[in-house]
Amino acid sequence: MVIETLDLTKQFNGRGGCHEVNLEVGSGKIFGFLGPNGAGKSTLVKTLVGLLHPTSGTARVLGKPLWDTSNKQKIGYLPENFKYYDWMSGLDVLRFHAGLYKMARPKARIIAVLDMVGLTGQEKKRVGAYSKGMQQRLGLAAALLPAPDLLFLDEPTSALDPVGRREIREILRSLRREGSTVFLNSHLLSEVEMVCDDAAIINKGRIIAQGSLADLLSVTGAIEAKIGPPSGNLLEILMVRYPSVKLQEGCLSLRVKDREDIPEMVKIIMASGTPLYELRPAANSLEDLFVNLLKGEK
Amino acid sequence: MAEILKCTLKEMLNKKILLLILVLTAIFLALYGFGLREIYSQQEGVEPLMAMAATTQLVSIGLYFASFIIALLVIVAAAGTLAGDIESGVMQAMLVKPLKRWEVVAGKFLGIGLMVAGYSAFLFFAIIGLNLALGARIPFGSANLITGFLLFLLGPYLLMAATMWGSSRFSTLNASIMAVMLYGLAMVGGLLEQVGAMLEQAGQEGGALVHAGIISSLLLPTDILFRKATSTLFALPGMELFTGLFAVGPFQGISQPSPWMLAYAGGYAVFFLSLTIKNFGARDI
Repeated sequence: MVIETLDLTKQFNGRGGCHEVNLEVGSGKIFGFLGPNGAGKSTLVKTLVGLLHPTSGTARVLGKPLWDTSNKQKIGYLPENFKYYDWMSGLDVLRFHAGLYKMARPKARIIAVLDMVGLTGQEKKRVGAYSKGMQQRLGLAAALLPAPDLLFLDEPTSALDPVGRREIREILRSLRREGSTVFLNSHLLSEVEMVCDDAAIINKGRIIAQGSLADLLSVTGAIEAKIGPPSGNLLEILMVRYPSVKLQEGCLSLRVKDREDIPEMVKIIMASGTPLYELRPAANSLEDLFVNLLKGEK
Repeated sequence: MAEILKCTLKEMLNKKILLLILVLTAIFLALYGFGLREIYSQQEGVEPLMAMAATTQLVSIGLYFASFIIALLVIVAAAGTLAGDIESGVMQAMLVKPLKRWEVVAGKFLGIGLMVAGYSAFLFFAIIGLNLALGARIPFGSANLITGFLLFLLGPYLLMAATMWGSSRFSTLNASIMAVMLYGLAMVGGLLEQVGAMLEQAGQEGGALVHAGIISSLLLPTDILFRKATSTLFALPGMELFTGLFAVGPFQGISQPSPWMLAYAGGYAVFFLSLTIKNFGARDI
């Protein structure tokens, strides 16, 4: 595991923060970390990168405990609310951060990351003259400098336009292809849904769901079937066995008790002479899941 | 740590306040030089010993004002060096790199320290150089100058350590206010101590004032170090008999620090620097 936490808690004067977080993030994945504002997302990220000291619990990042800085050479971090010295140029910022990473010959890598984030040609401008989006790109470039094994991104696209967001998604996918792990902290659900393999949802400081995105979005026992016009009394027969059955615009949705119910259901449809075109497990949108989980917490 | 040191130095050079301080320094030196020229042009026929005593007064006044400007520079540079970077968010991206937090404190202390040392050396030797160039007849020895300068420099370093401690604990504004208050207390306490010592020399009751000065020196021993620096500067080789004469005046050192106080001053800087490292290390960013 790239990140493992055990009852990790960070509270501020006994309040807020995150509480007894148990999280596992596998290698080479894009991990989405979701939650409403103030849920404790940034607190957890800041604790994992060593900016906040945990109140209790333990965690290992790239196999090292939080107090150990020897793994920092391979960790990139783009904070949510960050700033660089505005008297520096973009190039100065990257040189400075390359120095902090103790990179021996950073020139080629600086050119590469500038290109990756689309800042080539803008690097000699003072940071003070950068737009917010450009600053976010520069922040990402600084985080990418060490070709990180683990990249923490805290709301990385909040200041970017749709084109910029797409570019960032592409960068994240290319990092995954190269074997890096990305911890993406975001409240943009569509973004997480598009790129993440695994996800966790935090609310009021506690993890309320985690797993692979596919598992999280699948609704247990819910089936959707595309059928032709129902023959005979198909709906009445199904209603007896599956009270949740609904038909809407040729889409039959119902909930089965277990896997063995599925062939039985198919038999009933076929026996009625109704054509069956498609059968699949029903999936939530991430937004539905998110909203339902938060509702359940209230 | 070297990266932080370099960055701190560059940051100082990019601060507009530094330019303002340099302009004011030039104005101060021009005004001071003009005054010296007027005074030294009228010293014909004055007893050499009295002329020397007058020079010690003039040098001390110049150095006293210089120490004041240096203190302002120290406060401007050190109060925000940690707190400002935390408040602005600069520190977040910095501290996740493979460097220890004490390296950040040490790098910033050394960066500001180097700039303060350079600026202090310029002011110290400019004041003495102006006096010598415009007519002062006083035999400074190189040992006086070097030791005097090092003691002169120690004061700003103490203030820097205390201000950085404030910066590791409070906001930039609060750390600045704390540092200005401490420095002001040390200044007023130092003046009271000198007045008390003068009264005692004249056979009057000045003990309470001297004690008030000592207590203020415990809070921040910058003033007492300034007195020690000037008295060391004026302990002229072969003129030890007249050291008392050269020490008279509100900007000099009739009341001198004990060796314990000097040891305390040394420990003060180490203590506050250690406390800064401890605070900053434990602080949530």
